[in-house]
Amino acid sequence: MKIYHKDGFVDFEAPFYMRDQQVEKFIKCIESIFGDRMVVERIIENKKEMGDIVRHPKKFSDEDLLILGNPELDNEEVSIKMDKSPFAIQMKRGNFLMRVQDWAIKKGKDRVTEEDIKEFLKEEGKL
Amino acid sequence: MNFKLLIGDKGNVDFNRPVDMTKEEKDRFIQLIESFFDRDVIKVKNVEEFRDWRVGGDRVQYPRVWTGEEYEVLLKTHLLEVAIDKLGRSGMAILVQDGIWRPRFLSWCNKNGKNPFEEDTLKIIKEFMKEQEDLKKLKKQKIKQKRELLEKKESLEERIPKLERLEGVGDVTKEGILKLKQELEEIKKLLKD
Repeated sequence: MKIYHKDGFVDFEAPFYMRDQQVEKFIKCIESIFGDRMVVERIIENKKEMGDIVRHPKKFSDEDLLILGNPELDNEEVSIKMDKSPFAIQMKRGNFLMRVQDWAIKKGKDRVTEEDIKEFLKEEGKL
Repeated sequence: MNFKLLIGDKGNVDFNRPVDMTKEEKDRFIQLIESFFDRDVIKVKNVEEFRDWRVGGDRVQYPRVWTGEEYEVLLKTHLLEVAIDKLGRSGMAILVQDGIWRPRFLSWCNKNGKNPFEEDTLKIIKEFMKEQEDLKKLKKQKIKQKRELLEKKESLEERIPKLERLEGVGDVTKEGILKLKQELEEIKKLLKD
């Protein structure tokens, strides 16, 4: 996150995201710096119209999860193997790998193998 | 001068304009930002001009380039909520990026015998990013080269029959046409490769 400054003025590179609980804390803290000079304004953001798009999400099977955990396959290959959209793979994969890695680190494993993913899924009650 | 802190209904936070701050206010403001997010992902930069758009305008997304420091946080954070709080990026933005970046990075680490969890993570990430950047540049260069070759091929394919009809007129010689034909064949071969 970049903070830009020029000639005594300061700005953000771009808007940043905060969860609701954080926003409230942030407002309190920033008010303590700028006091009455700052006014909080809640706004409606521009939303992408999804129109009439109908989605048919397909569930990920245990076998799918094993494939997702293999970093040697790129998202396109995985999407073909599973017959799911590349975007669906992208959305599921990062978070899944994040969880597998967290588990692997706790187990003291250097590299995650297919066997490790099976073990992980078993521990999660999925296999 | 007064200013507004804009809070969007989708969770995006912004100023309504660049804010004039005294040195003390600026220092406290930066400290505040560093206390809310991961300190390593915050960069303070002098710029020539500020952006002319704000949250709540026409834009639907507010993309920011991912830095090596942010990828390091992503790699070392194992809960989405924590990553959101450390990076100031929405869950959706993180999932979308992580789904592309993480498998590519881990696969690259495996191929290159690197363990980003034990060695200097940021150094490995930056090495990976540099390689990706170089590959991207090379790909762009190849596309440009191919486009130039295609343009030359089309031009020669158009010129040669015209010159053949004019052979012997002025300085249009058989040898000259042969040379152009050879050039065309070479280009075709390069395009095939």
